[in-house]
Amino acid sequence: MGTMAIARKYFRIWKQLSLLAIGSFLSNRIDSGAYLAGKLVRFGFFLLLIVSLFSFTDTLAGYTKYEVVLFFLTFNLIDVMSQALFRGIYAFRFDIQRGNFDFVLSKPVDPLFFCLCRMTDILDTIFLAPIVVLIVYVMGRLPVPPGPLQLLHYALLLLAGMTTVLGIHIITASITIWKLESENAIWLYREAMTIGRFPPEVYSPAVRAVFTFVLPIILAVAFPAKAALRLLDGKTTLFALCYAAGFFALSLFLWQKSLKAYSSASS
Amino acid sequence: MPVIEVKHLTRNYEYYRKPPGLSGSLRGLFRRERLVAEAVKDCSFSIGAGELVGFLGPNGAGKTTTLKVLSGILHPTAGDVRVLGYVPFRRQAEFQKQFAIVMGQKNQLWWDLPARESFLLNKEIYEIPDREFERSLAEFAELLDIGDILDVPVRKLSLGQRMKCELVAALIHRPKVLFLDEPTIGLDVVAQQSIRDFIGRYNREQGTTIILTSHYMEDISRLCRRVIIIDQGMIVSDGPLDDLVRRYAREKLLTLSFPAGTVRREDLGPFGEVVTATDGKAVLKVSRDGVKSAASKILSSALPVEDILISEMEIDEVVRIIFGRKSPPPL
Repeated sequence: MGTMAIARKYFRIWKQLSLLAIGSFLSNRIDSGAYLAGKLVRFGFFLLLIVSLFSFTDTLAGYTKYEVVLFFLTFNLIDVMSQALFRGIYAFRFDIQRGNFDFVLSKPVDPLFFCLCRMTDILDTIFLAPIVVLIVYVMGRLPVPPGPLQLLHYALLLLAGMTTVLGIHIITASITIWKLESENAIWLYREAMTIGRFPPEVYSPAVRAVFTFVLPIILAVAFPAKAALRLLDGKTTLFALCYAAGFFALSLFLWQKSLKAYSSASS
Repeated sequence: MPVIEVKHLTRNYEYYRKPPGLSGSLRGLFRRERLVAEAVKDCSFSIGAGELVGFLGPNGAGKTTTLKVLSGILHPTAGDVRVLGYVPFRRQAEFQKQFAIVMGQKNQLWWDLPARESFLLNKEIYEIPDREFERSLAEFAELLDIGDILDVPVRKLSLGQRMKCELVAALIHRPKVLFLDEPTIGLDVVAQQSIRDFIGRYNREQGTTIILTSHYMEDISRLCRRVIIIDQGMIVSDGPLDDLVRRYAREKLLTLSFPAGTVRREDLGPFGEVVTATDGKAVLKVSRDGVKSAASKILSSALPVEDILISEMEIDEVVRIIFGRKSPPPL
């Protein structure tokens, strides 16, 4: 099968999975409404916190209000995109423990694709538009708004950030396969991800090092904002791109190893 | 050429033993006793095209593990497995399009949505052309009498209806090989019968190679001419069901009818082991070699026998005998 034919097949599967996920969300109206409201409240309160902070100070770790908001919005953009596209990972433990993953492995579809994309989250995609609008607005209010080169730089590092976050999702899925009792790997990531809400300079150098090199959250969510603020040189950018590619390759390697070790739930 | 070929298959599982109590849990954080369980041990068999083979064994015997290895879900620890000429664990799409697995205790349908939506997903996964999909769906819906529930959310269906939909989801791409792991488990007798009839008919009409595991002997005895018995991971017996009964059942059953209140249980003792004796009917267990002479003695005795029937033992009983013994009797 040619590459285009494979791409068409996977697009059709993704479309059907998304329709199923939307149908499933809509069939649970109260639950979905509460989920959406909870997300709005969390987003709104944190934005309010930043604005409140700047009523007492002019800068935070050397950044102005709009610069800090850009970090927060970039964090949200990556967080929402990953939740929207890779939501299936949150149900993966359930699938493993119930043995439903067996069906996935027996079908002519890539199991990683299926598990990541099996629950495209319509409620999160709703958030994407206002976040993008806010990013454009905030960039326009920066002391030095980004030019075309900085925007390209920002987009490139967003892509690297998404690749890194995808790698983290794949590693958590691999851990779930290896250790059937593991249920908190993805939640460890979720909690760690919140570190990206603020500019990395607010944390100590040791914390920064851990969240740049070991669990590369800062690399994923703070580097794009820094690029837009003209704070990232070419060498660091190259490092970020190489690191993201390497991290993603490592996650795929671990995934393949975990599939080989898969022991399936008992009947 | 066999469709399924298994040579010296072994599959081990690793697991940990946790000492009981809080102290055991704390110790388990740092050191765990790692154990290995041999779920399947050196199993070999082959199955030809169109065969419907029963897989029998108690819980934990290794039936499901074998099916999972044949489906490519699990990697074998050792041995060579081929299905339709493919090595299952390589999970090649060309192979995966030609088989299906149904697990009675697991669910591939989307719970909140009508079954039709899950069928549409499988249509995309298996790349089934629109017309072929509609034709297959209409045919299965009619055969299984589920036309009116295709648009009802799966969570609202009865277990029997759900299992019928699971079968459709598995068969919609017309697989050449079908693995059925306890497809009738938990169903009432009517639903069991319906599923059983469908499987038998599908096998006959499509020539699909089927392996069926079930705890219900009715499923096996009605559908399978060949039975593979597996116990503690090893194949204990493989052959026609009739041979199995002849080989393991050293006794036959004599069913006697007589006028109510005319025969007491102790009157029957001299002719064989009395299995049941109710008013007007009794069942005796008699050695296979002596069954003719016992029947003749009963007929020539003073017992007022109205009818006498010689039959093989129930398959359930035979299986109980097999799992109860250490080694098979000589052929």
